Amino acid sequence: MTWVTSFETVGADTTTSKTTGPASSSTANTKGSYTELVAATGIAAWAFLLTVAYTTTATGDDHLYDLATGAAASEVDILSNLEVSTGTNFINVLASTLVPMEIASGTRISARIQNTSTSVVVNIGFNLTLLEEATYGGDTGGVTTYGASTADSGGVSVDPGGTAHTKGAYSQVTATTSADHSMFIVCFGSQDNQTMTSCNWLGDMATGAAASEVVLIPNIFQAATTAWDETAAQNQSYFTPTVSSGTRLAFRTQCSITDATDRLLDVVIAGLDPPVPAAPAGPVGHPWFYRRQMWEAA
Amino acid sequence: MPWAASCVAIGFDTAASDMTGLPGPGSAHTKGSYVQMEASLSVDIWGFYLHVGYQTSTTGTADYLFDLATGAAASEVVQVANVLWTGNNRRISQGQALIPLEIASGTRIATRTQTNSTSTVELLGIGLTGLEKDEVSGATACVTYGENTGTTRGTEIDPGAVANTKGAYVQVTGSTSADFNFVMVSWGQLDNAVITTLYMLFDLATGAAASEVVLWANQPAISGETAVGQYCGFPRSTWTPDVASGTRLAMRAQCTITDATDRLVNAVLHCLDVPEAA
Repeated sequence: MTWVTSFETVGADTTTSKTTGPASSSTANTKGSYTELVAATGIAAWAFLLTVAYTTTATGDDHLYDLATGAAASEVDILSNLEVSTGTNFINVLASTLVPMEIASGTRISARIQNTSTSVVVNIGFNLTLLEEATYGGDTGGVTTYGASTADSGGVSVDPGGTAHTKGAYSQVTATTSADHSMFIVCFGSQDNQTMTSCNWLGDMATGAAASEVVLIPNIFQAATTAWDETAAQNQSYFTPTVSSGTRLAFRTQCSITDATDRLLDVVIAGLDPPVPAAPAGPVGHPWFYRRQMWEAA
Repeated sequence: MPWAASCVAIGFDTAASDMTGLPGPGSAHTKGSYVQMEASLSVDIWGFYLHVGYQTSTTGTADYLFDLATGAAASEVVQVANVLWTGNNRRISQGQALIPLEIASGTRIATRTQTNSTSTVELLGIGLTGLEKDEVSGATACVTYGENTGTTRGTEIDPGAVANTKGAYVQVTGSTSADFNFVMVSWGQLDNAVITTLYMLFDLATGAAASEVVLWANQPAISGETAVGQYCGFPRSTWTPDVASGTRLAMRAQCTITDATDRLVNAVLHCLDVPEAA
């Protein structure tokens, strides 16, 4: 069965063996300029594997990044304000996550960031593996980000509370989603904390009204280390049941420590709605169920 | 229609805010006992996200090959074999990777590991987030290539002595034993506790020696910190173009440094054939 016809990698800098990173702005918490990852993609993609990684030994900062398509000076963000946090004195792969979103052949892709620093540096970069469409496509409705705080390049603060290994109160990420979603990218940030304590978290992403939340994704693991002052696997993507437009999203955590500062995490959640892959047989344009019937009959 | 009817947590230890811990077996290069992650899976799943992390801050570096298995105690059957992982005294090294492998409701899930160390310290943590089956189906088998259980390593890839230039291809397998359209790459750093900070891009290719064709190009991997040595290329997975059974797989890499030891990396491939629709 064919899921992918070919790959195209964009953003890899073969002259430095690194990813391609945009420079940050000299003004804290303000987006810098877009940096081009590719002038024109060569395939029609239904998804991409997004890698976010250090490009240099960084100072500790919170970052919000955008991925955009479109010509220079006319970019349109396809991922907006996803958070990662960098630590001190080391480098890391911050995220490697699948995003089932369509990108047409011939598209220019670029990226930009804002962060909590006033230094103009290239700290993080991006590498995308585009998955060429075979018989179906990815999300075409766009990604909606909830909980990002552009004022501090962070997200919604989630506090596990003062009892170790016990889920704290829910923090609302959004009161109401603006579209249906069946996949989420959960982003974690460390609130620009440069003196973190080694610890573990388990987090629940939930839907529903306050005091009536229902867990959608249980026990998402996260950890921090004192030595590097950051967490890892900071962007994690999850296929989920469909969450209807108008739904409240909330997040809670439990933690192995109770330090009032170090136990805190930022959370940003991006939602998308990738269609389930349709069966391959059947005339193009027929309803999905009809094509599936034909496929099953075949 | 969603890709998942629900998400279920497998193997997370809420009493410790952690994942299922795997103690070192005590004997080098020998699989230890299974540790149960789930007594009975509550739903049919078409796949799961694999979470790997380092549980405890201790000194020392070690390579691991761990298995995910199903079945009753003492009758486990390995489903995902010899996932490669290197950790050290920093617990930051964790990752998430999708593995679209079906497991039926009611199934017991367990894990075990081997390491190049004789330590019995519980260092490695593993958790799964299962995706309940709805419209999407997963693969029924996962085939591993490139592991070396005798050394608890994978296939060694040398970028060569020229910085930022692809080295020679290294064969991971001479012939795949099944079709695949999904791959996970797992990584190790050869128990190198003083690895230099480096950046790397690797290619996965198919085809005969000297006639390789790049399948998956320029994937990033990084070593994190000179002082302690930490490889940060956690497992990464994706759907791929179709690769037929009988295909040779090879890998090559380029690197920012040329140190003869630190530039080396190990890789293991885990391949699945995922059906298109339920």
